[in-house]
Amino acid sequence: MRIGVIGLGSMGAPMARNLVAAGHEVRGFDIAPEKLAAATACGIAAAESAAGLAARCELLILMVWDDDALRDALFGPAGICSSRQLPQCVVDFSTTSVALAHEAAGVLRQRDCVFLDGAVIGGGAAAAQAATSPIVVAGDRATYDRYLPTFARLGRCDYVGAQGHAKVVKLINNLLVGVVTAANAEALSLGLALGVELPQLVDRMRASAGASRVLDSYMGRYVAEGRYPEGLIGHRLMAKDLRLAAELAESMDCAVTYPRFGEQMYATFGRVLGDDRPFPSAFEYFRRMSSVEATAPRVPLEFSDQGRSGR
Amino acid sequence: MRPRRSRNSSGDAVTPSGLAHVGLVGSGSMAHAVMLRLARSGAQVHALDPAQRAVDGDDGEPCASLAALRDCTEVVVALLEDPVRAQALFASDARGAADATGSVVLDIGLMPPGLAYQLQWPRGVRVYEGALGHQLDGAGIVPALYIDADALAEPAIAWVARTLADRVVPIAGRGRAKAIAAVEGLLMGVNAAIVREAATLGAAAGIPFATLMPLILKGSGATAMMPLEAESWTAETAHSCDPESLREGVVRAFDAARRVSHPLLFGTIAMGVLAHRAAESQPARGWREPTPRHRASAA
Repeated sequence: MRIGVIGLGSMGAPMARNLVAAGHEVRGFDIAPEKLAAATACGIAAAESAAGLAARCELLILMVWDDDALRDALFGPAGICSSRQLPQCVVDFSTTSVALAHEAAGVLRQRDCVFLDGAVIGGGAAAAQAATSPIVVAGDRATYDRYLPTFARLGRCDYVGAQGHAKVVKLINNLLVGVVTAANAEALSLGLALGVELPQLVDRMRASAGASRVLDSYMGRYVAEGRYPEGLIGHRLMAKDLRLAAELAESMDCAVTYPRFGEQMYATFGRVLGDDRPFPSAFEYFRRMSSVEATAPRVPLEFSDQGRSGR
Repeated sequence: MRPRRSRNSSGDAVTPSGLAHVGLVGSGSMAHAVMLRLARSGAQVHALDPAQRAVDGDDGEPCASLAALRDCTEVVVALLEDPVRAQALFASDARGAADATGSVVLDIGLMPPGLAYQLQWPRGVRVYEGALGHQLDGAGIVPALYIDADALAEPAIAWVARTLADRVVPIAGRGRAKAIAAVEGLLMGVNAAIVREAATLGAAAGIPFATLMPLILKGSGATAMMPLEAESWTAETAHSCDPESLREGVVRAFDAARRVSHPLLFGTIAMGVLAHRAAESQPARGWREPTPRHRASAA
């Protein structure tokens, strides 16, 4: 199958490579020339524009930065819709708004192109490379079923229903990730202030009802290795994701507090620590707030089996 | 007055079925639950209620003072909440018995971490801290007791600890058991609150939580609190995880945070979300029939 991939960053590039490995003819496009060059070195043919890609493939996958980037890729002067010929299906895995997913579906439907909204809801770049990312897709069921074998090359897929629902799941997942991460940062900082060492705290929390995947993945890694995992988004992007969740809630008059609060907190973390610092570094913000010096781990920890089980 | 520290025929404080006599200081539903657990494990519970409420005759025998309580029991379990009240209680105890050599007290109440060690106890009293918490066990959670590791060297406390919780977690370092429980309470409260908001948002967008949760559990936003909303908790732990109990956990973290001037921003929002949830879900899961003691208190 001829497949196009727009957006060849830390998630889009490994997805494209997995499709090449599955025997598909893959073309890619990215507005950043260096990313496009890196992709071509991996067997991905370079397209000159999104429009050029649209005319040459049956399935087009989008993995771009935000709503503006998606709008540009779809409706810009050299965007997909400027092409005379469109793919049969466009699927967007970017973290973008529900409203834009509906808008894109409506515009493409008029040109006999099916738009599916999708999302990668975990695993990060490593899982994208291993094709083990949890993926959700929403929209026309028959089209989903038709392309499921291809999607299955990208990760573990679930169909989640009506148009827009994959974006909703993604925004809720990122809302949980953002808030739980910051709450972990706050709680662990409190534990430090109370005299408990970070390794002991993390070890105990991982086995407790306060456990979470972000505690395992981010704080656990930080404690064990003294650094955050590679490829994490920064405070600015996390604030953007939480803003999208807040806008979704407000569009439905849904009374929730954490999305806007979280957006403001991550904007603050960005101002204090740097917009592009990995978002779990919110921990450093709370340490500064409480003037607590963390006990830096000197040796990697071996967490108990009890701590790993139960989730 | 009962004979000091009744012993079994072999002279051991700890019998094969448990302790003969255990003291309990505290009031409220938590103290009542502790009393029930101890009584059901075979201990004779002697209770001192600082709030001067009635003590259930079936569950424990009322005791007039802390000194008297110490005198007739092997170990005293204290659920202390307010440092000022606690100090007043123990000051009167100190006046009643200047030498209390051999007395063992385990405080598992809501006082901030380390405070029990700082109170002025009668000479000879050995004091330890612990705190009730929740540990993961497969897909569910079980009641746990975080406890000062030194305390487990005391056979009487080791027995009480095993009685109070399914899992006893020794914590090295004085005051850390309660600190860890405070952190756990904060995380449980915030995680429950954000899961609640996620469920609300999903439902508004047309995705029921029963559909949403299995998806999120595969994703990076998974938390151990998610099954709470799916009602998969056991009956026993449901009481610990109802909105009011979760709020109590966050309050415990606030009390601890205040002592070290640590801000709790996400905890503050959790208090509001859990209060709203408690108000709209009464009677909450885990709600229990009032005990005779509760009814007496209300009267």
